[in-house]
Amino acid sequence: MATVDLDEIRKTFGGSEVLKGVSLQIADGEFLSLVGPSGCGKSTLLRILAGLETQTSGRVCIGGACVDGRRAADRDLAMVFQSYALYPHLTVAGNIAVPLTMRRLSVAQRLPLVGRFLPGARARRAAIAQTVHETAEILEIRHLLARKPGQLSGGQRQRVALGRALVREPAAFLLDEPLSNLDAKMRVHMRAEIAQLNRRLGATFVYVTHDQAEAMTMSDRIAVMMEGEILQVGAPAELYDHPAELRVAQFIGSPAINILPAETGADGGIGIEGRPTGLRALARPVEHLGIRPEALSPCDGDGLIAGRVRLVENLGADLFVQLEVAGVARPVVVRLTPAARPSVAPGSLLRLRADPARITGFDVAGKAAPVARLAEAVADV
Amino acid sequence: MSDAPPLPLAAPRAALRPERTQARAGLLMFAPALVLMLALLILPVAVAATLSFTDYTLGRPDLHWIGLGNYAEILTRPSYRKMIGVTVLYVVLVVPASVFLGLGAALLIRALKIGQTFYKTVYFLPVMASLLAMAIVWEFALHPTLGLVNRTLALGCGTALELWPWFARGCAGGFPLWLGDRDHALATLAFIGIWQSFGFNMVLYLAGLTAVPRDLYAAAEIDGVRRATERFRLITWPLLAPTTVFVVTVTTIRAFQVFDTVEALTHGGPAKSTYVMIYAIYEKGIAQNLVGLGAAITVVFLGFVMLISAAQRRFVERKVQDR
Amino acid sequence: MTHRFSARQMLAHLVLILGAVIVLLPFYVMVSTSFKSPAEIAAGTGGLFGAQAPIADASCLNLGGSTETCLTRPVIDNYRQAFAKAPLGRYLLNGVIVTASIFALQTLIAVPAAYALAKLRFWGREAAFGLVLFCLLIPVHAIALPLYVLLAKLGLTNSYAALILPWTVSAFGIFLMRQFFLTVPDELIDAARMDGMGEFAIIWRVLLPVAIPALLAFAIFSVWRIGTTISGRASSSPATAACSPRRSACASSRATSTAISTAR
Repeated sequence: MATVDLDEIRKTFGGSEVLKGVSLQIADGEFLSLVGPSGCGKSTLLRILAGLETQTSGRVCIGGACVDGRRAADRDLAMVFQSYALYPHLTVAGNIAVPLTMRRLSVAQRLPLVGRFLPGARARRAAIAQTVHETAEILEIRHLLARKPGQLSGGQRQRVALGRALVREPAAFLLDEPLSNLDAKMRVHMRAEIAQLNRRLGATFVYVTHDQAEAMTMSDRIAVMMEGEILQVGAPAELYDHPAELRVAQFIGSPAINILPAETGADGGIGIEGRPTGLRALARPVEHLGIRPEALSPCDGDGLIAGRVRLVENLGADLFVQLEVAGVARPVVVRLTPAARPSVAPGSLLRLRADPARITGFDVAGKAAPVARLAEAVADV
Repeated sequence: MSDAPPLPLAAPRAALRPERTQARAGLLMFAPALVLMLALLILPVAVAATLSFTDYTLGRPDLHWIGLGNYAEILTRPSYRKMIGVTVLYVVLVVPASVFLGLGAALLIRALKIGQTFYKTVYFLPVMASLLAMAIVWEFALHPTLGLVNRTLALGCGTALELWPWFARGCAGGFPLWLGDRDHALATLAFIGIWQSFGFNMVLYLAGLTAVPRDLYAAAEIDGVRRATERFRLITWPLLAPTTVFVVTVTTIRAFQVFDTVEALTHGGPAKSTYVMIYAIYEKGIAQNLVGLGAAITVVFLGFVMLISAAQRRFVERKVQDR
Repeated sequence: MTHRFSARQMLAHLVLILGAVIVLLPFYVMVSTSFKSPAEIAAGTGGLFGAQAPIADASCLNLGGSTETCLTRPVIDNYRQAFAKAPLGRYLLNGVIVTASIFALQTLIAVPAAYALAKLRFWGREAAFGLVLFCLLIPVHAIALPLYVLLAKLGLTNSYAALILPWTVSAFGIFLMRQFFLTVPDELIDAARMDGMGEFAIIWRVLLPVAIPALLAFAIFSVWRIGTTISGRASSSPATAACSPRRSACASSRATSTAISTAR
C-alpha cells in the first residue's frame, strides 16, 4: 500500500503537449478517479505512472520512492485494461498466475516441461496455485479457473482481469476504463464491486474513466482533466456543488448543469436578459450562472426564469423537463417529482425559481466567481 | 580506467526508460534478419548489378568492364525485346484470371450450405502440390496424341460440339500440340500457372470475407439493395479492397517469377514463345555461362518488378485517401 | 433463407464441380498413370486403375527368371521400380531434414523481426520495413548465381548448409507475421510488461502462442515453397531426365516417375 505523487508531469508527442505540467498527490488507500473527455491526457498520465511510457519532464513517486526510469514490472503496480488484455491461450488460472510465475520463479523454473522438476519449483508452484485459488475465491470465479478467456462473458473476463491485478498485492491498482466494454447493467454492478474491493483491500486505486457517473459513484476524490491539465481535484460532492470552473461544472452531473448567460451591473447586481436576479457578484463580474436541474423549482410569481415546456422525460422516480427559455441557447432542464407531471404539458409556460445557495457564478474566464444574495432582496429569489 | 570521466548521472536512468528498452530490443530483434537479408538477398543483387556492367563468365579469372553493353544488347536484340513482351503477356494472362477465379471460388463456396470443406480442399490441392512434379503430369495430360486432354477432346468429335469452328478444325486437322505449338505454348503455361495459384487466392479471399460484417448485408437489404450483384458492388468488393491489393500484388510478383514450368516443359520454346525473363536469366547466366548478360537481365527484371509494386503502392495510397 | 437444395445452390455446386474436375485432372492422370502398364499408357486405355493384367518384371527377367515366375501386377511393378530407381526414402528424409530446419530457422529469425517491426518503436523502423518489402520482390532464381558464387567461396556447396543457409531469412515470413502482430492489441503487450515480462519473454510467452494460426499459414507457405524449389527439383529431375513425352517410347519410365510424384 502506498501513496502516489505526480510532480509537474509534462509529455510532448511530436510538437504537441499532451500533458502540461500535471501534479497530483494520492493518499494511501485512496480511490482517485481521473476523469475527462477522451483525448484529455488521462490515459497517458496513467501509462506514465505505470511506467509504460516516459514523461518528458517531471517526477513519479510511489510510496515515497521516486520510480522514474524503473521498468513497469518493477514499480509494484497492477493494471486493469479496457480490453482486459487476457492472454487468450492461457486458462483463467494461468492468466491469474502469470504475474506470480514471472516474479516468484526463476528463468529456469519457468521453462516448459523441465522447469517443474528443478529444486524448489514444485513448492513454489503449489504456493502460486494456492494464491490463485484464494484470489478466485474473492472474486467468485473459482468455477471458471479451467476455462479460456474466449469462453467467458464480458463481466467474467473483467473479474479475471481484476484477479490478475489482485493476485500480486501491489502497492497500487491502475484501472484504465475497465468498465467501458460492459453492458449498462453489468457496469453498475461492477462499479459497486470495484469500490467495495478498494475498501476491503485498503489499497490505492487510480481509476481512469470518461464517465463522470462512474467517477462520482466510486471515488474518494476525483481529478477532472481537460486538454492536458487538471482543472480541479476534490471529493465528488465538492466537485458537484462547488465546481471551480465552468468546464468542470459542465462535465460533472447528468443531466448537465444549466448555464444561463448573465450580466453584472456597475453595482455588482447580476441580471439575466436585463432582469435583476436578486444576486450580486462579490469579487469579479459574473458572466454566467450555473444552476443544477434539481436546484430549480416551479413557482407562481415572476421567479428567476420562465420558459415553454419543450419535452418531458419521465424516468419513473424523476421527471426531467426541458424548457425553451428566451436568451438561453440550450434548453433549461428542471428535475421535478412525477407528481408535478399534470402541470407540465408540452407547450405550457413554466416559471422557475432557484435556491440562491445553489447558484454558482462564473467570470469571463470561466472561473468560479462568488455570488451572494442582494441585501434588500426577498427571502427567495 | 580510473581517469575515465565519470558518466553523467542521468545516463543509467535514461538507459532504462521504457522507450529506450523497446528501441534496443527492437534493434536487437531485427538485427539477425537484417544481417541475413543483406548477406543473402541484397548482397547478391548488388553483385549482380556490378556484374551486369562486365563480360564476366565463371571460371575465367579476368573480367572487362563493358559499360552498358549488356543493357544495349537487351534493348536492341529483338529476341530480348520479345522476352520482355512474353513475360508481360504471361503476367497479363495469369493475374486477372487467377485473382477472379480465386474470388469467384471464394464467393461461391461461402454461399454453400453443404460441401464447403470439400471444395476448399480440392481447390487448395494444386497450391500444396510440387509444381515441378505437377508440371510433368501436365505434360503427360497435354501430350498431343497420348494425353488425356486431346483424347477427351477427340471424344467430342461427331457431336454438336463440331458446330464450334475451332472444335471442327481440331477434329479435322488434329487438336493443338499445346506445349509444342508456338501459338499455344504460353497460354498453356499460363493455364497451368492459373491452375496452380488460384486456390491460394481463394483462401486469402475466404479469410477476407470472414472480416466483412454480416450486419452490412442486412442493412443493405433493408436499404433496398435486392440484387446480389448490387450487394457485391456496394459491400463485398469495397470491403475486400485490402485483400485484393494483397492478392494482386502477390500474384503479380509470383507470375513475374515464373520459372519451374518453363524449365520443365518448354525451355523457352518453341521459337522463344515462352522465353520469360527468369528463364532467360537462368539460361544466359547459368546454362550458357554469360554471367554479365544474365546479371543485366536480372537488374532489368528487378527494375520491372519494383516499378509495378511502386505503382501498386501509389494506387493503394490514393484509394485510402479517397475514403 | 435459401434452401439447401434450391436452384441457386445447385447452380453453385454445378460450377464448383466443373472447376473441381479441371483442378483434379492432373492428379487423376498422375494416379492412374502410376497404376497402369506401359501398354495401357501408350494406348490410353484402362480407365483409372488399368486392367492390372500381369506383366513381366524387367529386372526379374534380367536376373534370369522365367516369364511365368516374373509376372507381376503393373501397379506393384511401378511402385517397386520407383522406390528402387529413385532413392525415394533418401529424398523424403532429405526433404524432411532440410524443410524442418529451414522452417525452424525462418521462424526463429522472422518472428522477433516481425514483432519489432509491428510493436516496437526504434530508429529506422520504416526503412527496415521498406527493406523487407524490397526483399519480397527478389526471386530466388534471379540471385541464384551470385549466391552460388558466394557459397562456393565459403566452401559450403554440396552440403546441408548450402541447401539451408540461403533460405534462412524469409521476407515473406517477416511480412506475414508483422501483419498478424499488428492485429494483436497493444494492451495485451502492455499487460505482459506490467506482469513482469521482458520483450523476448513477450514473444515466447504471449505472441507465439497467440500467433499459432499465422505460423501455420506461414509453415504451409514456407514448406510448400521450399518443397517446390529444393526437394521437388531433387526428386523429379531423374524423371524429367528419363522421360520427355516428345521422345518416343518412355511409357514405362513415365509410370515410374508419376509413381514417384504420387509417393511424394
